[in-house]
Formats: sequence, structure tokens, C-alpha cells
Amino acid sequence: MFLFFSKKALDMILTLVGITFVCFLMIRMVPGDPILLMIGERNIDKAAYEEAKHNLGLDKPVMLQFLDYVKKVIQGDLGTSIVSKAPVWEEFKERFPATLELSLVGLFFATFLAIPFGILAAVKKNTFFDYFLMGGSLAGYSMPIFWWGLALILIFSVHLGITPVSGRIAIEYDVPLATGLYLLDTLSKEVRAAEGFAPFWSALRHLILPSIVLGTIPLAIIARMTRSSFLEVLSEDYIRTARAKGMSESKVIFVHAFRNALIPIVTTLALCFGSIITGAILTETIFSWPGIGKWIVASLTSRDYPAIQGGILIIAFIIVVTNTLVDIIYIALNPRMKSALLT
Amino acid sequence: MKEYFSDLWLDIQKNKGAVAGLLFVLLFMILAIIAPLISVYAPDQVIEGALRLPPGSRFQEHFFILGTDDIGRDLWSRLLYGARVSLLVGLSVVFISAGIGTTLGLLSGYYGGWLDRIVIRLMDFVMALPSVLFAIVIVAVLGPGLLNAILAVSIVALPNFTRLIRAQVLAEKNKPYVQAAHLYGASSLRILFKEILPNCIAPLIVQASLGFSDGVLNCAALGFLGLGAQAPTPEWGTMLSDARSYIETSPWMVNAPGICILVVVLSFNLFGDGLRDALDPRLKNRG
Repeated sequence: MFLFFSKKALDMILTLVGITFVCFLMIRMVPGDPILLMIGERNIDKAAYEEAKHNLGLDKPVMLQFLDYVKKVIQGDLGTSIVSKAPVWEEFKERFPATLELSLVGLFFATFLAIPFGILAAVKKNTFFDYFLMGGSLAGYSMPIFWWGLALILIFSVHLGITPVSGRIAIEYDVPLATGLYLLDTLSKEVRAAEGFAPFWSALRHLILPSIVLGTIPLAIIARMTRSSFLEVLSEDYIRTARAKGMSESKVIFVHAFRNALIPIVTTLALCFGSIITGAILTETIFSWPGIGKWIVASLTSRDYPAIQGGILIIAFIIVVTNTLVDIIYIALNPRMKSALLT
Repeated sequence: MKEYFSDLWLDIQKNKGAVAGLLFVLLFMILAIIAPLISVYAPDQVIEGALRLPPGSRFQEHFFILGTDDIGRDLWSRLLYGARVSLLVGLSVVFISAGIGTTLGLLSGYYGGWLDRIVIRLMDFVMALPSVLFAIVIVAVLGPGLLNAILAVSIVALPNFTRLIRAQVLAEKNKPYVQAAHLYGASSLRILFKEILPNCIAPLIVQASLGFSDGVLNCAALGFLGLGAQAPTPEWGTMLSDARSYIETSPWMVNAPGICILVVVLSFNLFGDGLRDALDPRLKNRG
């Protein structure tokens, strides 16, 4: 067991070092002078150039530069944005809650629908329901979400006028931020005393379309996984035994099958994290959602390399750490795997 | 080998989804190939004054079956040529990633040892970043453009092929036919490419089909973000992105390329998925 965890930890550290190295190299591989790229100016005199070179540590050998970079990253110094002149870490911190809120609501929407859909498809295998749900989920999986988002805006915002087109909350509300998650912050005492529940509803309405768009692909993945996991479990001997005992079908499904089918579903759920981040980049661009996805795309357009480098590094760290945690939780949830590791 | 493929074809035929997917895939390929014959205008030909006309409009002596875009180009012609771009993108991505991925997978699975460890570590590493994000890193370095987007998407797709083939090789390499080939004195290369590789064909086709759809979708996403094909290339993702600001007044400009992407990606997924089910012996026995 200890061996397993240390191997996982070692794997994680190696991947993180690798990612740091790629991000470090990235700026050096971009065509053009890295010094001018990093300070974001074109015409500076020679003294200023040399000073910048020294300040950035670019006059040292590459390996030393990398060690310096790692040291800085560990201390939380990810460089300074060329555009805003603010530390990249601050820029990231400011936008992260928006992406987190969107991702959580999107994932909630996906799971909330996907698990019942998957169970229904498995229980009614090879019927119209099954074909319909699985066909739908394949369509969801194939969905170009950047079009899906625009199509939903067209229907629900332009034609029906139900949902707002962009942003996180109506402009007239000024919500003091505590968590950065608007759904929570709008429920604080002072906001409720001043404005009632109106800001909360506004934040919720702004979340509807983006979270549907973001949740579509995870919804498809989780529904398919739920179906196959259930089919696997439903063919097990203990299910046959439970049925033979005369147990009601709903009890068989929700008590016996559900718990065992849940393990792969939980893993899939956590592994959807990657597609959520990818989705967030596109979704935030469509809905002008002020999160990290939109920030990274904007940084790319303005060639703000320190911001791109720092942003990608943080996202990669989050994903690698999450995946490692998922592996560990998977082992913890699955007694069979645990005993296999112990022997 | 011939028998193998006729068996494969029988398996595919049993699965309606796979057949439907295959039909759409063929239709898409035919349309892409004969695009110059059935398009009315050149993809970048501007018809002066014919701005954002809805589908089925007449303008002077012109007729636009799917309407025109914001600078007066025929949408039907652009979409047809867009199919060519998508076909090119999908094929390139599959050829690059399957070619390199299969070779890496064969070698690392067969030889094992340090080579295997390096390859697996590299693949884990590529998989650590979500595909579009990784592609963004590559495009950030190489600069935006269709070729760079294809390259980026191919690198992102590498691990799928490498891991698939490696697992297949690990399963095959201790089987009697491989050992027999060893005893006959066949060289490692011959064993890898003549004995083991043909037994990996079926999963490889499945992965190629799914890889094609991923490639088209990811390239279109990069196009949409302004990092892929650049105007005036009639690439569907780029067209969609250019049409965004007209969504309220001219929705057909957005919907036509969007639906094209969906249909093509869906048909390749349908085919790949159905084929996988048809080939999976476990599912087959369960009936």
C-alpha cells in the first residue's frame, strides 16, 4: 500500500516537473527575442535591455534559469502580466472563482441528468429508450459546444428572452465578494437585506446556459459510463440471487446494483475534469464569462506570454493533482483493488 | 488477410449504428471530393451586394440555396470546400498520430525496458493536459494557422494510439504464433510488422475513426478561438467564429457550419463506436 502511494506521488512529481519544464521552454521556443517578449516592449535602449535581461535571469545558463524558475514557481511567483502589469498569480486568483462556479454547476447539471439516463438505458436495454438516450448521448459527445452555445443563445436569449446573453450577473447589482462564487455571495445577509433574492436569481439565470453548454459533453460521457457500468453489474450473480429471493426490481437496482455500479461512475466524474477545463475555455469565450478560460484566450490574442505560461502551469497542476487524488480515491473505494495491492 | 476483412465487414453489417455512420462518412467524403463539381461559386468569390442573404434567396441572376455570408460569399460553396478542409484535417491528424503512435506503441510494447518507460512517461505527460489546452500551448509557440493546428491536434491524439497498440502488443507477443515465428528465425521487425500489427488492425480502425472525429472537432474549436485556420480559408470552425456577431440577424451563417461539424463528428463517432461494439467479443457473446 505504502509502495503504491509513493509510486503515485513520484509519478505526480515527475509529471509536474515535466509540465513546469515545458512551460519554461515554451517562452524560449516562441519565435522572437524572449526578453522583448517578456517585457512586452519593442524599442528599448541597450542599457534597459541588459537590465531586463539580468532581472529576468536570462544571462545565466539554461539549467540555472530553469532552477530559478522552479524556485520562483514554488514561492508562488509566476511572473508579471505584460498587459495588466499585475502578478499572474493575482490575475488567476481573481478569475478562478468564476470558472469554479461555472464548472461545479455544469458538472452538477451533467450528473443530475446523466445517472438517471444511464440507469434507464441499462434497465431498458435494447428498447426505444435505450437507443434514444444513447443516440442522444453520442450526439452530445460529438457536439461542437461552441456552436451549441450560440444555438442556445439564439433560442433562449434572442427568441424567447428567458436568459441573459453574457456575463455573470445583471450590471445593476454590486455584490461584495467573499467567496467569489456569486451563488453564495448573493445569499449573504447584507445583500439579502439590501436587495432581497433578486441578485441571486440574476446570478442563477446567468449560469443556466453556460452550465448547460459546459455540462453537455460530461453529461454524455457519464450517461454512457453509467449504462455500461450498470449492464456489467446487472449481469452479476448476486443480482440474480437478489431477484431469485423475490426482491422488488427497484430495490435490486437502487440498493444492490447502484452501490456497485457507482465506483466507475465516480472515477469518470472526476476524470471529466479535463473536458470541463477544455469546455470552459470555449464556453467562457462564447458567454463572455470572466473566468480563466477567457483570460487564457485573451492572453493568447494579446501575446501576453507570462500570463499564458503561468495560467497553463496552474491548470496543469490542478489537473494532475486531481487525477492523482482520483486514483487514490478509486483504490480507497474499491476493496478488491485494496486487497490486491496489499498482497 | 482477405478473410479477416470479410469477417470484419460482416461484423460491421450487424450493427445498424455503424452502417449508418459509415454511410454518412462516405457521403461526406464524396461531397468533399466532388466539391468543385457541385459548388456554384469559388469558396472565396464575393458577389457584390449579396450580403447576408437568407437561404433560398435570389439576387439578380444568382440563386443561393443556403444563403450568403457577411461579405457576399455563397454559403453552400464555402461549406462544400469546408468539407475538403475537414477531410484534410481529419486524415492528416489520423495519419500523423496513428503513424507515429502505432510505431511507438509497437516498439515500446515489444521491447519493453527503458524505451517503454520513456514512451509511457511521455504519453502520460501529453495526457496530463486537456487536449484543447495542450493544442493552445503548441499553437502559442508555433503561431496560429491550419498546419500548426493540425500538428497540435495530432500530438494531442498520439497517446490514444500508442497506448492502444502497446496494450495490444503486450497481449499478442506471448501467443504461440509469435513464438513460432521466433523459432523460425524471423527478425524482430518482421514479427512486429508482419505478425503482430495485422492483429491490431481492428482496434486501430476503431481508434482511427474516433481520432478522425476528435481531430475535426478540436481543429474546429481552435479555428473558433482564432488559433486554427485563418480567413479566408473556408474552415467550418473559423466560419462559425466569423459569423458570431451576426447570430441575431443572420443565424444561418452560424448554424450551417455548426450543423456540418456536428454531423461529420457524429457519423465518425457512430461508425467507430458501432465498430467497437461489433468487435468486442465480450459484448458479442452477451448478445
